Amino acid sequence: MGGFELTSGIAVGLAFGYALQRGRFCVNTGFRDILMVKDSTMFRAWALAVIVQMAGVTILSGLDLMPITVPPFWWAANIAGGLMFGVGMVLAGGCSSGTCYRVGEGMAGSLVALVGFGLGILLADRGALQPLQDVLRSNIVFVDGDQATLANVIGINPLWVGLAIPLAVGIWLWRGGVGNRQYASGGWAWHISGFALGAIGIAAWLSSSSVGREFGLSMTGPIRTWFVLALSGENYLDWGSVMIAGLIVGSFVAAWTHRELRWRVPRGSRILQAGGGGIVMGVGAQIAGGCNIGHSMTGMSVLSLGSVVTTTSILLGAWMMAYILFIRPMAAQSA
Amino acid sequence: MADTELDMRGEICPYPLVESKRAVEKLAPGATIEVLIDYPLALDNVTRWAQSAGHEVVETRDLGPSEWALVLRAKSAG
Repeated sequence: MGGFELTSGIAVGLAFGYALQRGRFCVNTGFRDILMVKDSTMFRAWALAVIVQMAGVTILSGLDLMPITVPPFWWAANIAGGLMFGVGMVLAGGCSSGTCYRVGEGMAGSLVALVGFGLGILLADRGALQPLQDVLRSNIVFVDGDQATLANVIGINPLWVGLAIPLAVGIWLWRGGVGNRQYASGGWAWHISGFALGAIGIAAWLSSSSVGREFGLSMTGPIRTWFVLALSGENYLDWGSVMIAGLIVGSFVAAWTHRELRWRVPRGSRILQAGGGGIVMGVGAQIAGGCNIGHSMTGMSVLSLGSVVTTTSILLGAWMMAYILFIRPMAAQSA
Repeated sequence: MADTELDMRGEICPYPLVESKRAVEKLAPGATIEVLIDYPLALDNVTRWAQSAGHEVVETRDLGPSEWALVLRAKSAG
């Protein structure tokens, strides 16, 4: 691994972890709370992060300043994997990035979920569930020989689509206003974290692409490389792997410098739930070819149809599980 | 001193929110509850939910690194 690959990966990871911790950014919370408590604050942070990155990547690739890779549209894997990931993240109490930054803050439940996530990835990538992954990924849809995107599927220049979506979503966010900027815990308001994460996403694309990894932020692949190294000794570490290490350190530094570092251990049954949820998340993310970062932020920024379908499936899986686990029991109690 | 206490320290997301909501909705109008929370996002979303549901956030006491006591008062009937 070259010096720039190492340093730029760590630098982007540090910034990513710092921003995730200060923004308390979690796609699980964002997707779940729209339905559970009709609160869209975190969802707006995610939407802003997506459109900032989408506009930036569209412009940079449109000017030929950066090569990009579009995640494939293997629709069965996108749907099944996305649904599993959504169900798993509600059980685990955090999406993949949420889980990783909470490890840096000292949350034992998230550490257990992360170990489960890594094992789930290996289970589908090279373990007992590999045949399932192979079947679900066997049908890839191309458009004129290229990976399917929101642009080529309707025959429009990606430059227009990649700028029209950020404009439309941006207007929607703008009209909703920022709301209360002072959060009880003193963290960043949603628009600050959304903008910061979008900008970090662009920096990730630029630095990662410059060392031959033509993609931006992702979690599933990088976490897989660490687990493969730990369990089999094979070394596939790359820009993404060091970025993940930087993420956890960045979150640790953010928590430490804001008096939020603390070792927290949930009770036994919750540890099992977090670990089980982590495994389900890992299997789902591996089958879909990415998670709430690789698909729902980075893949969306290159308009991948597979990423849009995966993200929609994650949302539906999370809502289904939140309904079973929280909404229905709460309604039964109030009735 | 609040009328009841709910210790959500160590819990994973979203149990602090779910249990706080459940507990506040069981309170008599005007009664108070002290929720112990050790997770920043939970402090934010429990506070935000309470305000949007019309309950009063009486105080947020800092108890140390990543630990807070959030005192909520259930809204009056009607």
